[in-house]
Amino acid sequence: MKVKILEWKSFATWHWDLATSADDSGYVEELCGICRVSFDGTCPNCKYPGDDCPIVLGSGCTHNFHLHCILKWLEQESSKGLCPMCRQIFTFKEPEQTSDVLINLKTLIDGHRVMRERFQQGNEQEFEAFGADQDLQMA
Amino acid sequence: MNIEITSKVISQIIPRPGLYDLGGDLDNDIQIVLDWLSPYYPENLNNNKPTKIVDPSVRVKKAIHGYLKHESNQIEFVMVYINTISSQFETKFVADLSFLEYIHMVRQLSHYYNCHLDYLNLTNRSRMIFTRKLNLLINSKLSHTKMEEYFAERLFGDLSSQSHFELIDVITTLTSINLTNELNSTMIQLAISTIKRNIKEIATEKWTVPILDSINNCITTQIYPTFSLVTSYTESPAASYLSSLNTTAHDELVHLRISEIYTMVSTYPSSIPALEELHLCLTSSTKRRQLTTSFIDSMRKHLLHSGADTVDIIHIYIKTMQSFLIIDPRGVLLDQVIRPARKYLRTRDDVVIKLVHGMLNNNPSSKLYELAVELTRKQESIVRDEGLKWTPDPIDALADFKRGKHDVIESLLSIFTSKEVFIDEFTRLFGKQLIEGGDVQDIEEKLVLLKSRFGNDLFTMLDIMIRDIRQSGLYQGDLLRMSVLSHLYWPSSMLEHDSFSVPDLIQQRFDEFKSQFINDKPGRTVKHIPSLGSVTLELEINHETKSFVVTPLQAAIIDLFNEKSDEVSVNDAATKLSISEYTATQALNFWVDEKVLMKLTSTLYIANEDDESF
Repeated sequence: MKVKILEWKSFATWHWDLATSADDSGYVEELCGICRVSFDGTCPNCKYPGDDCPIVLGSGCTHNFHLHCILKWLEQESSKGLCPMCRQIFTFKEPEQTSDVLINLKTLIDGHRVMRERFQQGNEQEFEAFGADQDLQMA
Repeated sequence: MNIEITSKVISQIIPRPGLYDLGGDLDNDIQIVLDWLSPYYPENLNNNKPTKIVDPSVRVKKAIHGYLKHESNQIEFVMVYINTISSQFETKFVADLSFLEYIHMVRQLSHYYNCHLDYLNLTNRSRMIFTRKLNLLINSKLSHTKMEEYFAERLFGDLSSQSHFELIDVITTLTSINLTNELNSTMIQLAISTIKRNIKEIATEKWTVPILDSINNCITTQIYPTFSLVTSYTESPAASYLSSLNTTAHDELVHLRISEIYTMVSTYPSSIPALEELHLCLTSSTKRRQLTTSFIDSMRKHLLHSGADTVDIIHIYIKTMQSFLIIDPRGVLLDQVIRPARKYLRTRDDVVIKLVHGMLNNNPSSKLYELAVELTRKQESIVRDEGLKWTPDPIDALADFKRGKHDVIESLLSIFTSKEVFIDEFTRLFGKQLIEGGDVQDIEEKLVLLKSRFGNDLFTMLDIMIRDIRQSGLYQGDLLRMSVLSHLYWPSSMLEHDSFSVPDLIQQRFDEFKSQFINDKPGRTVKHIPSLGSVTLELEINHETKSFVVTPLQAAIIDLFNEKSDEVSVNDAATKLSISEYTATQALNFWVDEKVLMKLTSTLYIANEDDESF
């Protein structure tokens, strides 16, 4: 007897491949630290998971977020560019392919870095010039 | 001429009273009057000619004059006379008189006594007393059954001139002896029973054609002419009874329909004409109540019990809505009759799944096809704010009656407090269809309809599921066609399956696919669900080629026999595919049933090939 397979229609599920070990089901049950939704789901503003709502892996710390979630967080000045979970300066692992949103994220992180540096300078010059504080606030 | 008036002359003119005429002797006078009056009973009742009355002699007249001068005497006389008549009547009256004979007797008696009485110069009062007593005497002998039988044969039939005159004769006779009330009530009873009989004949189980016109016609042409003929003699002034007769007929029709309502509803839409006419005739609130009670009773008896199929209950539910909205467009009656069904449906576990399947089944032979039609119907936007046009709820509405449009699907959905149960069911059903390779286009079209009904937000999962399947077109390789699902958005029960090892060739293809996917989608990976999907394959066996579409597991099992003439044990198969022996046996037995494999022993299987093929 010869068996000739003509077509094998099959199904698979996708999931984010995170460093943390997967459980028995093979899925990572880790949630986004900001929106508390699984990474395989979407941030609160997105409808479709996956391509449309990617995740960002922290490189300075081990925390990961939905790209949209961390963007929103870093857009607030009060975030001071820190990871919302561990308060270290947030940096991320840059994937090979980049996108507009990732460039935005990068700009934000850079912005916060500049701010921090100015603030530090400001601290050093505190006694020298009164106006520096004002400049900082205006910035 | 000169005549000398002497006592002799006077006595010649006015005779002296002799023995013969002792004028003042009252007993004598009574006897003379009574002798002349002699109680009478007609001899020949078939002869319509009145008996000849003998004129009273002078002596009789005198006796009458003398004796019946005073009313008190008259009344006394009338009493005595009636007694005499009565005793004579009792002895002569024959009980088995036919009705017509009775009428003849009445006429002759009335004629005879009326003539006699004319001579008696009675006062109105005494004459009235006599007439009343006489009538009573005659009336008491009337057989009501015979009268009814007589009229039943003649009334409301066709009025030929012969029977017409006879009828008028009878009516006037009966009226003359003060039987007007009896006559009227007999006729009304007859009219009603004739109407009842007619309605029963015309209307019973006839729901598909309008019949109100023929009923009205029957009233106008058959019942009313006789009726008005009779009332013109019995009523003064003659009133028109046409509209009350119509009302009676309509009431009777409603009465009939009340007993038929459940079957009528279940034969909707062919019963629409009857339902529309019921709408026209159903005017009293008592009848409305009877209608709803009767329907609810029948529904409980025929439908709302564990023996009935859920689909049938929903089917009747829909018909009930449609029917009762015809009977009562305000929806008040519907509101009342539908409540028990709603309450009952809540106790059924499979209502949601049946409704969901019904809405999505476009096959006109489906019992719930109405739901599919209803789903595609454009919804009109409801204007809730009625502003100044507000009117109170109808008087017979139940406390939480909701006015407004009565949409079948809306009504069925509102049985459940939450729409979630439906969404879950839709998701499961569509998910299954998507996995099984259903028409995505078709599913999307249905989804658009559902969204217009349930709102967009509730179908996020389905949107993502459909997108997953649509995008799977991107992953088509040689042999292997992969669909990649977003696992959080599919019902978990669909994705949880026991895994097994696919044939090496397929595993190889999957690995190729996987590395391509990881390359395309950095940061993501895929997990194979081997048991989901379907496999198209060809078997070459005994120089024949057979094609099959089977489950992946069945494909993997038969692949073990590829180009192999040795037997395979259950244990082997289970080990090679990393499945339980039970699962392996099932898949092996599938191929045995298809006559591709043969069972050597209970645990050994071999390809079912003729010996010469080796």
